[in-house]
Amino acid sequence: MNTELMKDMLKEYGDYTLSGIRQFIPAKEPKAYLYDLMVDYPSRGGKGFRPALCITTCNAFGGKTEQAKFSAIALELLHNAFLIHDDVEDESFNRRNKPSMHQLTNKAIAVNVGDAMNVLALYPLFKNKMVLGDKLTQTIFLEMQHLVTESTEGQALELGWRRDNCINLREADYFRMILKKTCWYTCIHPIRIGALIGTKGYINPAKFDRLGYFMGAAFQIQDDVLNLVANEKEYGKEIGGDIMEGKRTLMLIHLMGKCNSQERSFIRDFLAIPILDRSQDDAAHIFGLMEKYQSVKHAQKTSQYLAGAALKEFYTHFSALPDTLEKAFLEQMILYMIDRNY
Amino acid sequence: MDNAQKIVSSAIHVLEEEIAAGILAAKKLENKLIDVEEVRGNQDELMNRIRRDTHEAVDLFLDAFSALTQQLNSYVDKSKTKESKSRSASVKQQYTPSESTSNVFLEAAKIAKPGEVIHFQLLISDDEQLTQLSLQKSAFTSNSIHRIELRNISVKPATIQIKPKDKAEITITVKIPKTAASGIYHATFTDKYNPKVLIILSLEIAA
Repeated sequence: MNTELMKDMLKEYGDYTLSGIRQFIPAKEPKAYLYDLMVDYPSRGGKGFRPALCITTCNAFGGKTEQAKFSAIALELLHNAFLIHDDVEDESFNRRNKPSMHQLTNKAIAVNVGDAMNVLALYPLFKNKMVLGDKLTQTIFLEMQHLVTESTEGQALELGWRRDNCINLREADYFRMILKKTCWYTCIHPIRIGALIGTKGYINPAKFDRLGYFMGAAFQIQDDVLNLVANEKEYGKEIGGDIMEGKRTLMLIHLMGKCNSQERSFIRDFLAIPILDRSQDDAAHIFGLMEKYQSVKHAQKTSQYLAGAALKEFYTHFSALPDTLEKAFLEQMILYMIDRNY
Repeated sequence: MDNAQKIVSSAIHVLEEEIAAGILAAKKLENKLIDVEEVRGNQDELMNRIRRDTHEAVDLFLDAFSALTQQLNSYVDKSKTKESKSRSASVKQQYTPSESTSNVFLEAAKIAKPGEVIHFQLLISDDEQLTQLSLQKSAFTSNSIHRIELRNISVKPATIQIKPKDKAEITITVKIPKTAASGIYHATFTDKYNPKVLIILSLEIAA
């Protein structure tokens, strides 16, 4: 499979899930302050990564797309709810080339829309009963509960580090944070849920933990790298925004471990002041230091190593399955991460 | 290539620690919830409640919370088939290498203070075969950024060989640094000769 076909399939699964999300939005007031806003982020053309992983894994294990539909909808609703809250917490200006939800409305409304989307995700999970039966529905509900718990714990770690201006972080701390904040909800649980549905619950989902973890970590690191080096229009967010926000990325942690004491003091002082008071020039200087110490290159390499480990896990658990388009899609997603040229 | 292996190993270690910590946390949660037995005995009622009213989101969460405890409890029970049933075995745990295929839990009996020394004891016995055991230690970490480094942890004896029907004891000593921060710390030890087994140690520090 080539990359273009993979992207077309991603879009297809994204559109399929979006149409499902629309079915769950109540057709009533207050539309302007709530329900219309709930479809805003999902309609902005996200990657559809999570629904695609869930549906294709389900298909690869012999299940039907319709069986994974409600779980995919719930995953995408939760993802977009997280994004809305993330943007408030990070004081981000843009999301997918448009003003972030709180910029479009205000912080109070944005938080409320995110809350409503989190709760709305319960309904498709309940509807799973129609296609999966009670037992599997309950299992998937608990998968989702764990997903949300881990994600909030990961977000807590990152926000806490920023509040306390933690600078003595190591790579293992970063791996722990992204495992919690990103990997469980972006890859591990979508794959686990897809496999559970595809096998009607007759599989130990823990066997996919490493695959999802490696994929998710590679994905997150690449996303952080793109935040520094991508074209703003293609990336959809302000370039260098992570430095301005003081995000503890792998590049920043690597830089703090490599730079001299004077440079370290400069970074620490930059991170100590409120986000809105930080200057673009100082952020650009920190980016220059990341280039000087090859922190970006280190992150790119790390991401590729992890994607390679993901590919090995993929072959371990999927090789015995029949060759299908969906299996090829999963393989191509990992290969794309390895070959990605930023 | 060495670098790749180092990075992937480091990442795997974090995943294993987190999974072990999750299992322990689920077990503790279950012990705190008083209505678990009632819910366990009536699973249909739980599902009926969910069926009756999906709009009561708060109720749904509460029920699911109990159900989660039930499921995780079942998972823990399954995964530690050879663990001692007694909660008093929190610092002294029986371990039979030839029968063990999964996890062993060791939990400190009391909340420790910075500067204290904590001992975990593992009683090793095997009726069936000559056994060699060598524990590979790891640092204790709390869910945030706090650590108790390897230099504060000792395992004696580090390697042992036990004849069939013999018994031996391994003592793991943790010197808690005076600067240690409060929190629940976990470490995951492995047996070099039986890599499928995780020995999970847990201790709480109150500064």
